[in-house]
Amino acid sequence: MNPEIIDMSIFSQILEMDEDEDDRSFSRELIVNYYQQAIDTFQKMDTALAGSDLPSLSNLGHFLKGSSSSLGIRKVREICEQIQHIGNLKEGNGTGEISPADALGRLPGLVDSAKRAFIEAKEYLNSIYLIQM
Amino acid sequence: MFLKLYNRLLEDQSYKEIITWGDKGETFVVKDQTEFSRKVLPKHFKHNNFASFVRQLNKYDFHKVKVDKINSYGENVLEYKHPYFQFNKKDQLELIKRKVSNKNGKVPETKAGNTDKNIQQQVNDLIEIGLSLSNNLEQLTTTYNDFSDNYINFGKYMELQSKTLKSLVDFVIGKEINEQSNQIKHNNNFENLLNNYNAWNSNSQLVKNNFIKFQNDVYRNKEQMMATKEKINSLNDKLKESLFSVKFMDGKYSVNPADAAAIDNILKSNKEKHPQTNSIIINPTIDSSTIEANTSIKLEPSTSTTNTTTEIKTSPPTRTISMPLMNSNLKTTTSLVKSLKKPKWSQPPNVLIVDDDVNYRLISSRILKIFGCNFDVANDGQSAIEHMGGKKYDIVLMDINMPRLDGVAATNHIRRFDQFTPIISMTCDTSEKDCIIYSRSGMNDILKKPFNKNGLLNVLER
Repeated sequence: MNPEIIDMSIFSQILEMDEDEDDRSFSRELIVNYYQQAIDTFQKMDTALAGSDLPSLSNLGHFLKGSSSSLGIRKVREICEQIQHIGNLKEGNGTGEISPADALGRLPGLVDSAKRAFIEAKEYLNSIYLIQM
Repeated sequence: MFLKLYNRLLEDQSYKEIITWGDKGETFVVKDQTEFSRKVLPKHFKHNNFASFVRQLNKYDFHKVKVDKINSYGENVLEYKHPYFQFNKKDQLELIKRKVSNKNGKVPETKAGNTDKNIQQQVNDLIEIGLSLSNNLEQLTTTYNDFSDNYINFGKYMELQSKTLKSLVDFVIGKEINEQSNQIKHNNNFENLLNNYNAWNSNSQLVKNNFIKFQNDVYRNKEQMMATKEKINSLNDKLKESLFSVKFMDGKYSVNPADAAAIDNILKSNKEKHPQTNSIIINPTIDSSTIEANTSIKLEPSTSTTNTTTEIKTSPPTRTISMPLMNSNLKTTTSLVKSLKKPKWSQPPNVLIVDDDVNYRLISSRILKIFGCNFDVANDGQSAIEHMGGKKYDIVLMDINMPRLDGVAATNHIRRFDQFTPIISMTCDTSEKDCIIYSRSGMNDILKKPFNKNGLLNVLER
């Protein structure tokens, strides 16, 4: 498993909360919720991109950043953080200032890579939870 | 018995010429000493010594009477007198007691008399103390009644406040809706709103002051009651001690049984009054479930176009198989429940979790459940305010970025009616600038996301 995709120090803490280590119903529920959140957010991001709605993109980036970080889904979190900053007209690391045109030029690619990172994480999680989606 | 004999002797008419009652019946007269010694003494006293007879009389506190009438009985006449030795008063003979002539005999008598008096005095004092105590308690009861009346009034006042708040919230919500259509009236309305808000603010300040005053009152009352209780306890002990000593001396000195009963009663009534002082429960829960937001403030962006560039090829999440985990790595994680270190609090806190992210709600709930905390969950700032209006929490865990009403705005709002409940912001954004914004809104601490059980426990234990 690629540690760049999932931060095991955080994900193992989620696994610790399972009452039944065979069933893992609690962490399983979190994972399924996360899938739903990610899919909803990506759809909203697409909508916002189409409307050149930078504030919404920043907000959505922030939201998925939070959701991903709670489970240790590191790569999605990192890309979403960049989306948040660029939507807020800053560099990806949160400094400086960029133009709306610059932001709108960079965001589609970032959203795409976020989706790819999500699918990577999902494939791994599916394999351990035996979820078929 | 000596005196009984003696009395019979005087009643016996055959000795009339030798011994007889005096003129008034208060004295007796020995008319002929020689005849008395010779005839009477051997018969009744088993001796014939007149001097020892006189000594015996002296011992019983008889006094020789010096009278000028002495002549009426002749020269060798002796007359004796005792207040209880009188003609036809046989019953008084019992009262004639051997005189205690020496020091050893006399001192205990007076001493005993003194202690008896002392105890009587003490008992009286104690009864007085008991009475003043019960008076005190009655006063306390009335104070308490006044106090609870005040408290009820205060509760009513708070309810009124809540209603005001509700109408204000309604007004604000109405305002939001109106704003979209009536931009012209905006300014006037806004001024109204501002005025309303200011009035409400000063009102809430008033309530706050009242509440603080009220709390101080409660504490003062409590202290007073504790002090009185202690006094009563120590007095009770004293009373018990005294009662015991009184009972101890009962054998020798008769204590008025009514007094003892009175003391018992006082003790009892004191004990009965104790539970009353203890039972004052200060429970300032303010019922104000009246803050309801029927309308939601819509802040979410509503764009209708759906031009998607990239599609995620996923079907809706459905779990088809739920089987044991196959990955052996995951199985090695120890259960949190087993490895948990015990939280350090005497009573688990009441927590409100505010987060729009379902997974954070689930994780926080899970951790709090493991720690044994009571908690409620709110999905956003608006719902958090509703919760805060209806219930008292020990701590609030507040997300920042939320739809409808975000964490900073919600905290601002809550701080207008609740200055004290700790509000902890849960967020990923922990730059200095952000922290200043959070603390300015009235938040007490920051819990950086993603948090784990230890981070949460640290915050809760603070």
